[in-house]
Amino acid sequence: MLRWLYIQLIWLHPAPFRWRFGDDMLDDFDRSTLRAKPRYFADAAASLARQWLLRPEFRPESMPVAADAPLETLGAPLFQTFETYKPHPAALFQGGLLAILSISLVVLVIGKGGGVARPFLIGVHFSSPSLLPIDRNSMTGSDLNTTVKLGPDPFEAWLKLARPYFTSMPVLGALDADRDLTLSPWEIGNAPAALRKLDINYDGKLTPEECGLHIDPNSVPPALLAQLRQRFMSYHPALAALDTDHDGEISSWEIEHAARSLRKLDRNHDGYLTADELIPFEMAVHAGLR
Amino acid sequence: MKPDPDDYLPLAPATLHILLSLAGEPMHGYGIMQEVLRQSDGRYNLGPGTLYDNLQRLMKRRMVEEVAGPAAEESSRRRYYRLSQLGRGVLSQEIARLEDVVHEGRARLRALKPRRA
Repeated sequence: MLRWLYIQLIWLHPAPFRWRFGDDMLDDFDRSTLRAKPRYFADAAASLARQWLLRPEFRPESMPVAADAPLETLGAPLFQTFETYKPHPAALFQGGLLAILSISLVVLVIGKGGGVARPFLIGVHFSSPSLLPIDRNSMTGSDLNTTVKLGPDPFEAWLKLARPYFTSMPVLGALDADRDLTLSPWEIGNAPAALRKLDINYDGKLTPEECGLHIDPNSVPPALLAQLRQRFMSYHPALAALDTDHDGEISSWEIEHAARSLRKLDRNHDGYLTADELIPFEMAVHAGLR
Repeated sequence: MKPDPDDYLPLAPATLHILLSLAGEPMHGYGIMQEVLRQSDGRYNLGPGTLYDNLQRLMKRRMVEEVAGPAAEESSRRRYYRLSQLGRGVLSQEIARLEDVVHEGRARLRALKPRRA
């Protein structure tokens, strides 16, 4: 949860700063002790204000319009602005603050049931008992004897299966930054950076052991070991998708292109990878979900 | 035109500590934070936001530059930084300036000492 909040704080920074230092900031946060975390939050909040208010020179400028540019280029309409005026960052910040305060005030008034303010609120519906007269005598007890039975939520069953599965798979644990058992578009996009963290021996690639295979190499013959490693990588959909050349390892090139590989698992094309798209088919069948 | 190190003086404490940390070998962000903590006997605890904000400005002013990490950590995603020639010049000038301040301060304090009759 704390990590997720910190990611959101990093995400609010201007894009150039976030792209350049976001990974390092998150890595530093991961290395810090629990006691130091509040200080990291305060520091990130201060950094956020500093980046937006005091560092306009590091933010990408809007597309410049050349003064001598032709009015039409290859028949495409050209839009030009005559002024380069941009509001001061401090004004934007104060405006945002004022908007938040105003909305909070309105919400507070509505919450407290302020009778005076209600006529001024747009869209408030005043119920009028005279509009739809209800004859309660027409309702009899026999009208209410229908029983509605709801079956178990199928997605809850997937989540129940996904929890231990995500825990046992370091790759999914690393990818699922906010621990919600779903890989969001941002988490998929961040996959190369997340996967590099698993590279314990810094050889640039991920072996089945770094991906979560627990097996003592001395306890099985080499031929069987190779077979087991290969089977491990092909059994889990996420690993099979990442290992595009099926050589039983995730190479540095495959790590670099991890986001594209993972998106192939998105069967319903909603941009998210959910438990039913990540859990091995056999495991789901065994749990009675397929 | 070559920038004059004097134009950047005096340095803010965070900037000074970061440049001092990088005076040796190239370091990554977390290493710099640890080094600053060590230099200041645990009194100056630099946060990542402050550190990377300073690094961003120092790189823009060409006092610090990004370099490849050590061979053992080549595959690591961490970025390494080192002092540029300009950064080294600025740091030297700032230290010389601080030496003057210390010298002047000592002289003043000595003059304030009560003398025996």
